[in-house]
Amino acid sequence: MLTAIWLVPVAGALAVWLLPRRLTLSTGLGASLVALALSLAVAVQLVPGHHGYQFEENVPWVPQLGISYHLGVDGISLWLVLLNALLTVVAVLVAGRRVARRRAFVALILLMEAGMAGVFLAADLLLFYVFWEAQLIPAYFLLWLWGEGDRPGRAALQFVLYTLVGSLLALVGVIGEYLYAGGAHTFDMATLAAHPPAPPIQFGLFILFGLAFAIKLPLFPFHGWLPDAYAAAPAPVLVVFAGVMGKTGAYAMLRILTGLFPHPVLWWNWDTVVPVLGMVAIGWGALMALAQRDLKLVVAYSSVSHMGFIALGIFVLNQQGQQGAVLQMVNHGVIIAALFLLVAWVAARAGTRDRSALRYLAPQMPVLAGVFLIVTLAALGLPGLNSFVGEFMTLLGAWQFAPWLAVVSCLGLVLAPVYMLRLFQGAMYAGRGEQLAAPGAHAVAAGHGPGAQAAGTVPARGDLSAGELLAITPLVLVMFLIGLYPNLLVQAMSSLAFALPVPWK
Amino acid sequence: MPLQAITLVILALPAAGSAALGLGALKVPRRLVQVVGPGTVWVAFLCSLVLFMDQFANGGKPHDFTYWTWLSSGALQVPVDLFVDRLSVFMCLVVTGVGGLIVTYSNGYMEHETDGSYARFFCYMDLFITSMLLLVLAGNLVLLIVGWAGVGLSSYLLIGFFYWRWSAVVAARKAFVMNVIGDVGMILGTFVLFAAYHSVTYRGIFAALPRTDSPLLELAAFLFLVGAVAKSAQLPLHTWLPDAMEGPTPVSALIHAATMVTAGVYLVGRLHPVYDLAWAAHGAVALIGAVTALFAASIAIVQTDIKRVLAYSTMSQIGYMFLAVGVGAYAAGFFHLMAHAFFKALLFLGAGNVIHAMNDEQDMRRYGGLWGQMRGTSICFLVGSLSLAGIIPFVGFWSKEVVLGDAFSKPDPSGFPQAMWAIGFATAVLTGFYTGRMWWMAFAGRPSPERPVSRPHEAQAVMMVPVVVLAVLSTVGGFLQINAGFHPGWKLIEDWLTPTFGPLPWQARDLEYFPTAATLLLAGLAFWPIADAFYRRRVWSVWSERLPFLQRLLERKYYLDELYDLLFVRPMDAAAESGDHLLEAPVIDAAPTGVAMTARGSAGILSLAENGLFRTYVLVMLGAALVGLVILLVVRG
Repeated sequence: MLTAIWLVPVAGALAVWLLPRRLTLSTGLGASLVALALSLAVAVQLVPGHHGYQFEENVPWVPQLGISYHLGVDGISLWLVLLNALLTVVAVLVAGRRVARRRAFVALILLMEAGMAGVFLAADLLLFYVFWEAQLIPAYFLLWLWGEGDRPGRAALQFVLYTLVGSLLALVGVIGEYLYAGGAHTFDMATLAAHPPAPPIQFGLFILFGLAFAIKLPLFPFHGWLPDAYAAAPAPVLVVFAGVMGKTGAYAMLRILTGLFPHPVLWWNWDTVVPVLGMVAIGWGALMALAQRDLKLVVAYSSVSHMGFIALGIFVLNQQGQQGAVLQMVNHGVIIAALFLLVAWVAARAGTRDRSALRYLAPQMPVLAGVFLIVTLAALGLPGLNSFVGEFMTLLGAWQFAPWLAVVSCLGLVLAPVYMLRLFQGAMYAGRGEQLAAPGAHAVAAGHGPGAQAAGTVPARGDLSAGELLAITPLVLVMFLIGLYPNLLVQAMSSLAFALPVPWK
Repeated sequence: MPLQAITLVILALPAAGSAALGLGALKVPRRLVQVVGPGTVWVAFLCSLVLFMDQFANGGKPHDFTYWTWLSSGALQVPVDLFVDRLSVFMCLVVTGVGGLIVTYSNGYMEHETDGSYARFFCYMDLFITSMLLLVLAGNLVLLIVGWAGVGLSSYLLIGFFYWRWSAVVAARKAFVMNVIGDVGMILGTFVLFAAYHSVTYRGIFAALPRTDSPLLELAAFLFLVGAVAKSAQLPLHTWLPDAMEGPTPVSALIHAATMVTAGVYLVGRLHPVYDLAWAAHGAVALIGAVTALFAASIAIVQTDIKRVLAYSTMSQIGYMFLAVGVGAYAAGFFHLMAHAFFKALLFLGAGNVIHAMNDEQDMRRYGGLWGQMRGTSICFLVGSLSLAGIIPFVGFWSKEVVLGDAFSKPDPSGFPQAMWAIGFATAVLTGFYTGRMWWMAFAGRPSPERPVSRPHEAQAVMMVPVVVLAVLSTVGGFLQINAGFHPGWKLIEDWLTPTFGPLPWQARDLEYFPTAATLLLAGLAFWPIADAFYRRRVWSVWSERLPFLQRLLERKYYLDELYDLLFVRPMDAAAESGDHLLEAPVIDAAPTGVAMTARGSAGILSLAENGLFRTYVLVMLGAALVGLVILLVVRG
């Protein structure tokens, strides 16, 4: 079953590549929907409270070295697998008919889904690394060949070099862990977790893996590749890039860094370093979002800020913080994907991504404005929608770790409405100093004359198409669902593949 | 239907109405909007009456209805539970009753909007009522925060309703951000209580409270006070409220009278076991209230926009409520909350009638002479004005007297409650003055030559009926509790709330109500003749002409907006800009470019990229892996 979750997209990609172009979208959509259905089936059957992997598949691969093809899910990875499947469906849906070289595009997106699903499903460290690298290849091509702007190649190169550095560090880490992990000589993650190396070695490995994952997340100050890459990537790519790819870093942080290296101590206990970086990311990302003119960059930096919450939650090392972080991975994935889609749609209609050139679009696109409003509110952490739950839990975790961390991180909560509302209001509502007539006011005054008809035809133009609405509706529904009933996700987190250093009850 | 279901219906019905109107905003016919919008609120009112009967019959035994588990993470257990006691039922009745009148009134007031806007308006109004009901019914702090933020959201939506006006757009954003500052206070306060008592439900926390004060409790109480101050527009987080007048007038009525701004008072009342222990924070509540009351009243004196006068009077009256709950006279505070809901809704809706008739003109100097032309509205507005000024027998008199009398008679060697009383007393005089000024300028005398409409028409029935109902309530509502004037008279409000708050811990004596009754006298004096002499007959030259500095200081609202802009807004933008230019762009963002450059320079990757970067990448990866392996083997050996 788990193999199918990553193999179906691969098969889909092959089919897309081989079949004629007019079948591309239906084939791609079909494959991603099957993957989603499989993931949902796993979610329904997952047993909460179970210790150890579920739906395990374990086949020896290189037995001499203790490498096996070992997949499994638990209450953490399940939600990321689902997120991955859902966002891929959305990405294929919005890829639409306008994308050039559509076959290759959809095939690569499906390949990326396969790679990322593998990362979340792998129960073997080397297998994890293989998938980790595999996702990078389609990502690079998507960015290079379909990038927007003047120099997409440069953005792609930057991205690859940056993550390549991380990958190499991680590879060294994988080998080091194999050699030093309590003499276990295996890549099986659960076994490795039970046999951590000596604290100074842990510290070294923590740094190697930590850098790799921090670049992927990205965590302040390793987010340098992000503005260029996100500015260059087209909307469907961003759905998977920002929505899922960063989460592979977050997931790896929780599973590998805290799971395999419970005491990375050398000379001193470095516990506060990553939470502080998370805290700085929250504030810095928010501040940078304030300064941006480009719609996409505002969203990109808001992502830096929100990823800060995830890093903070994972490394405050308590249950509320870490469960909040997992929740926030899903929340952020859904929200950022929706935001990038909306921003891309707005930019396509207005013909510019410059915030200062946009104003007063709401009358022409009331439905888009309404959806944008809800997504904006979710992004700024409105209680009642999904992001609030994750932020509340991570901050509560931070408070229990060190109250000042939570207090300073709250700066992100205060700045989020400032930059999000500037973004939303700036595009949708009246601009600085304007006193416009109410839309359609003259039509009402003139009764049902020709004026009314003219005013009636205006709003229809430029609003969300049915296809666009179909793509974004599931995301909005998830925002409400998690906001109203977060325990749906949290209760499954009682099922863990292997115990974390801080037990979850 | 069991009580548990009825309680849920109170919330679910306006929520469903709001959702339906929001989803169908572009298609729902206006007739249906007119039914769904107010209808859901009125049904919620009926359900609240059922709860009222239950609370009446069972002597005030609270219910805690749990529906589902919202979140369960280790020690953090958050149920979705609604808490029904005397206080929450009291609030529900005020919110749905007065709110229902206001939403009904909007049917007429918003008639000039397009169909889409019309539905959107009622969607937001119902959302507002839902959030406020959730706020008062929530049985734990997290749910309280959800309602709390929902109120902030709906105020944002309604203040910015006329999104084609820039001023409305910024006013809405300001309200939202200020409210989020309050939300953060609430969230941190919740953390403090959870870390100390491992619970977020009222019951759990109150059961675990210690018997004596502690720094932790003070911290929590102060953090919740931040939330209360932001929501109730008290100093220093008040600047959003006057700007909130950008919303349509029924919105102002809803924000100011029945919902939102009273939330802070409710919060202090709901957390009274905490505030009873945390004496410093409790004193701060009273102090902030008293100072805000005086501060806002002084600004109200110079405002010329009729809605802004009412806005500052709201701040001032909420200050009285803070004063009352701050000295521990909870029932008095909530009596004034109810009284204020009646007369402030009346004043705003009355003002709405006038503004509607005057083609949206809001400057009082351009009114004048309405007494003869809009007699019904004028009479109702007069009732509201007299009530606001605290003149017998209107409801404002009774409630304000109880607030001041209870504060004055509280035994305290430090004399703190008496000092609060003195500030409240001074405010009462100012209140009489600015209310009189408003009345004389807007309604009496001859029509202003600048008046936009020479022959205004009286409001239609759907607007007039709620106004008249509120006028009646403002006239007779005070007789629910008459112990301020006739001691010992009956005190139904206090008795109703006793199961929640307990009896007033000190005995208010007959004689000690007496000095406070002087407010009645002085306020009345200031109200009629003095303001009349100043503004209509110009017996004395207007004081402000002699003191231009003071006039300007008040007109600019003590320059607090400018100060905040200077202290917070500009530095924030400057930090963002300079951070982007000095650190983000040249260092962090440039780092990967630097890597690329170096790589290009040393290995000529550029040309390799053209040949196929992928191959290079694989080679580099394998090479580095080998190097790493070798290093590790060497280290190990």
